[in-house]
Amino acid sequence: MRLFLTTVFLLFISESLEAHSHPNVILVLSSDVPRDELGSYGTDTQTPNLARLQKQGTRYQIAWAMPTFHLSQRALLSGKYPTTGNSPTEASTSILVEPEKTRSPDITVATILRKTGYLTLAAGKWATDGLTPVQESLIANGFDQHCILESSLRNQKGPQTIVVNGRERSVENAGKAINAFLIDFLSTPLDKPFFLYYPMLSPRPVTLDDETHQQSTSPISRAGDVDQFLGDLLDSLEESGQTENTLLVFTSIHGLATKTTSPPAKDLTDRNPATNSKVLVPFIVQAPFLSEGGHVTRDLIDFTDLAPTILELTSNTKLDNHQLDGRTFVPSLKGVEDPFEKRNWIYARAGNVHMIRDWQHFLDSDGNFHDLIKDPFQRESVSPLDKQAPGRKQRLELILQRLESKLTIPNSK
Amino acid sequence: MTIRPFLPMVFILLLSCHARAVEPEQTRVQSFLSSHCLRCHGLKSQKADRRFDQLDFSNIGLTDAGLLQDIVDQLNLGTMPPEGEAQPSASEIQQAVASLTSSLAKLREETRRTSGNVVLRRLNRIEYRNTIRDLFDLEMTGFDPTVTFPADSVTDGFDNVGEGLVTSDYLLQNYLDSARTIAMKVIRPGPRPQIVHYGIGGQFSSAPASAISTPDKDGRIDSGRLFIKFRQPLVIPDLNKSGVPADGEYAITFTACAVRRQSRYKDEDLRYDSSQPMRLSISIQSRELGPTSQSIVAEYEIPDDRSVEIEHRLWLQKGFTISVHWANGPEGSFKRIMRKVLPKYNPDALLLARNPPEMYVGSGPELHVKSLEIEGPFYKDWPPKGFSRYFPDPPQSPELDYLDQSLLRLASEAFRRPVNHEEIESYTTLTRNHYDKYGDYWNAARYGVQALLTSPHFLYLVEPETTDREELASDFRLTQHELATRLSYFLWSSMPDRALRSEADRGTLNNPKVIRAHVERMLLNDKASAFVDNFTGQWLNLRKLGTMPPDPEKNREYYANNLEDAMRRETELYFSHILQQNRSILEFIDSDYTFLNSALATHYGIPFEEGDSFRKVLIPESTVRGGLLGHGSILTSTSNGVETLPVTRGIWVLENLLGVHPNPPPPDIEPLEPDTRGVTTIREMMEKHRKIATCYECHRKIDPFGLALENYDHLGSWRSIYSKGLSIDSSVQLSEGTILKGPTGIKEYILARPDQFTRCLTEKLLVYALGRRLSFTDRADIDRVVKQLPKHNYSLRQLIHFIVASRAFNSK
Repeated sequence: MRLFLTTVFLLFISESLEAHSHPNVILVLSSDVPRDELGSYGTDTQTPNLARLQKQGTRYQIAWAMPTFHLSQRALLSGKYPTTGNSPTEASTSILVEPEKTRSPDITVATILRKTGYLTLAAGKWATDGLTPVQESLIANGFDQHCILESSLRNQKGPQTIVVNGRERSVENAGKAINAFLIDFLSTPLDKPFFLYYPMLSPRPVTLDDETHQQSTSPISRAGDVDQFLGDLLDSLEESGQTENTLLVFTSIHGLATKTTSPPAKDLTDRNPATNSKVLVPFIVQAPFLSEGGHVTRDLIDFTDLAPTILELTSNTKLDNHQLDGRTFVPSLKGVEDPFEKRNWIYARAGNVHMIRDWQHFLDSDGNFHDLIKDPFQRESVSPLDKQAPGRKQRLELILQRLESKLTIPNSK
Repeated sequence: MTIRPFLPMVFILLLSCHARAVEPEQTRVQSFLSSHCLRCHGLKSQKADRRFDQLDFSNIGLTDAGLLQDIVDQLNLGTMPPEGEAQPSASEIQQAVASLTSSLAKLREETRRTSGNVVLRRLNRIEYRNTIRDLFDLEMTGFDPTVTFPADSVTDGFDNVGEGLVTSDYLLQNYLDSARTIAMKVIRPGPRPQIVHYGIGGQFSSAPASAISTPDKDGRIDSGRLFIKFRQPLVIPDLNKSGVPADGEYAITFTACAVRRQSRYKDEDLRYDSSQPMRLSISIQSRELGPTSQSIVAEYEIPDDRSVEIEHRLWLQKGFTISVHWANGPEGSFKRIMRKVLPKYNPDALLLARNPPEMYVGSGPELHVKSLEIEGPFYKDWPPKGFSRYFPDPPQSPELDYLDQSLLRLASEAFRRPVNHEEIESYTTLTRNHYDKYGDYWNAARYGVQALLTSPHFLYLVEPETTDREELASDFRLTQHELATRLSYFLWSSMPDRALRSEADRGTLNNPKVIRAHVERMLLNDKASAFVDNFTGQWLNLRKLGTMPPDPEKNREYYANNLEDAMRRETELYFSHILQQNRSILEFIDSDYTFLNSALATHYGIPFEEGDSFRKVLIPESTVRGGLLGHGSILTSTSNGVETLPVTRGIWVLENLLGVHPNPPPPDIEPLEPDTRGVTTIREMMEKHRKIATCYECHRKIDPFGLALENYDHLGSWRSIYSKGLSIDSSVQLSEGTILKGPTGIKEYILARPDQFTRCLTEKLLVYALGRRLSFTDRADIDRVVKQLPKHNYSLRQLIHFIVASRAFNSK
């Protein structure tokens, strides 16, 4: 059934392909750099290129990724919330192993774009389920080309190995090499629009796995490096005259606790993967064909919203969202005020814990409820004197219940 | 100070006057008493300490009045003669009551009769306020020196009648306080105050544009957006701390835009009318004076989806602040919209929970105010006119002679007549002493002004009694200045202006042509609105409108369209039109036009073409309107907000159109019980009046006029059946047998008796003009007017000329 609908949809959009010019799409995801180290989200770091992006784009104050790279990638490319199961393997680890084999793989935004004539490229990091070989996984997810550091090859001392379209190449610094590859890619004119999915590598070697958040380099210098990488991309985009026709989204693969956004590491909440600060990410969108930029907004966004947005913009068709969990944020980019065209909650999940929030309140499936404006670190309960809170909590509970029943795979499967 | 002995003295003297009425009727009363009462209340026995055998009906005094009233009351109640005694017949009782009541009425009339000589009266609140305005050229918006004064009591229907205008200790204290406030306001010798400029939005950074911060509890996350009506004003925080720094003219500038006038929400859900353009209102208030000081000073229509910049200039008193509101936004609270309305439209919103305001903001109708600024004070003249008029070219160093001169200039205006140095010596001495003691020159000046403003010569319209034989011979004629004052307070409720004053100074005011020209001039002046407001307000009891407001739940339109103000305005415009166009006073009874705005036209069911504002409208033949009896103001003020009051309406017609004053009801009367089930009509209920003979005596005269108006409901809308489906019978029979059919019948009845109406209106005008009760001595003046007015087509303006020319108006 789903396949059928998608096919109908594909037919429909390929009809309209000739009629419009199709914007390029670039998704840049930083990693290992906390949100408030980046440009306008914080104050300390010198990040001139992020400032530049912000000036031409729309900055979202409240955007949620997923707590792990793996889940973020799934949500982002599929436009759907990852389902949860009660399999014993999953419960035991925070690196989620999807029960992929039990159901058909999701159709990704890359698959659809490729079919409509886009060149699709994955660069930087790639997360797999650990069962499928990397290249197979990339192709299955709809990518024509790739330039990645395979996760099994990471964290080595000395020279690193990147894989460019199937061929392994040994380089001094994988992050720099991949960025250089992309600059080349952007400078070379193409005869068709492209879709670039780019979870950045840290330019300096990181000694440990990024899931543990223990790194050797200081966050400040890494924020500067991210900014530099981004600046190079922006420059080459501009030089090749493609800025005007490119949707560029800058965000992070997951939230990251720091001294300023969360309590000291010893605090219990820091170890709890289900908190706002674990999923709150920077989110800046530059779409010169939609908006002049310079906006800051409190509109809510989570990672499932990227796929419907990209599909709407590349096909010039407003997508019927029933098949996807996300919702297009094109109205928000255009400056439409109507809240009915926007989200009024966002969702993330860590392990079997579901989290949901609105503009002010946070609720997880364990029943933790917090006022994020008064209590951003989720340290205290909401005051019983707060007259609004019970209603807000009820509403979030209701929506969370709906989602839980939709997203949980029963044990019997 | 030569003020005549106070009213009590006069009053006591009057009490000794006795009613003199020897009629055969009274012998009948006497025989009634002797046959039914005297056995218990006579020579031998004085039960309940009452004795009637000594009553002398040919010479009833006040001491006896109480006894007579007792008798009437007991007879009315039917408690006397007691059970077991021989009972008089109904007709006997009726006769006795009628006769005793009329004796009492005469006695009352006689004892309070002033014989037309009490003219000492103080300014009432309105006159005080207007006089201060004109004396010092003050802008009175937001400044009411009389705000704490006790209400003026109403005598013979008017609040400017000397007899009712008593002065209390409390009022005196208020006079002192107000005079001090006024003196502070007026004496402004310093340099021109600095101009300040506050604002939000636009060039000011603390902007409504600073969009999004913490959503507060009313969901006003973006201070430039107005979501609902009134409750959510937009203010300038910098201004709100202490208000404007000085009295003066300020310019308010704002940029506004109406957004989504029509939205996905149904009007009834938001309690809002999307067919009307959005209106933004400016209101002023003072933190010091509290919420009562708040008033709306202007309203502007804001176009859809287009920003307009509007500048509004207004006078603000020191300490006042401004705010803007959405005058016709959704009613009620933002909370209700979030709890009850939003869930109907958005499945993600939870019914009866306070959903996040972000879910609504941006979807419903909003009035956006992009910037709001205030700049001022600006002055046309500096120093202000009210100051420089009495204190021209203030000296650099303190000069006491200059103060004396200035106070003399002020006294001559404030006392409304020429004043010499000797007369105000006590005031100048007071001022000099103040300066000697405290050494502050301008404070001494303020002290002097305060003293003058508490002088009886200012507070009272003094027409001192003369002992001069020559003047006595001249029939107590008013002096030129007294005449100017009386005329000015008649038509303007304020002091004479410069032109009138100079005329009096020249001594040419009593020339009939001159005074006629002045009357014409004064009626054309804006200040004549005081006459229209105060006279119509009291003659027609318009001031009662709003004292029994209809139920807000059942009469939403009345409040939504502000019908109360519209109704009042209709009647005032109507009166004003007849006055300005010199029309016949008979148009008060019937005409083919009235003044309506669209809301009132809808209320009356009269077609109204485009536009909203008041204009003259011809009444279609099919509609029963025209004349005062069709005015919503009068019909609403003679109802109790739920149902009509035929008795009140009947009395209204008798007193205000026919000049007949029914006797007040006896005490201890059970009111008619309202029929909440609506199975009987008011007419059926009022049949009770017929069954009790003593009630019937008066009610047969009153009730028909009220019942004939039953087709107008409690808000003056036309109805042909009652709400419960019972039919309305508006044809009535008057006590003398005439049959009237509905309101038209009343109009025909009165138009057939133009003299009676003319006399009624003349009496009312004369009371208002003289500020005293009428007496039998005024009768000749009134008769003359009634006789002559028909020759002038019953012109209202001519009626006023007649009154100004009357002997009563020109005499003390």
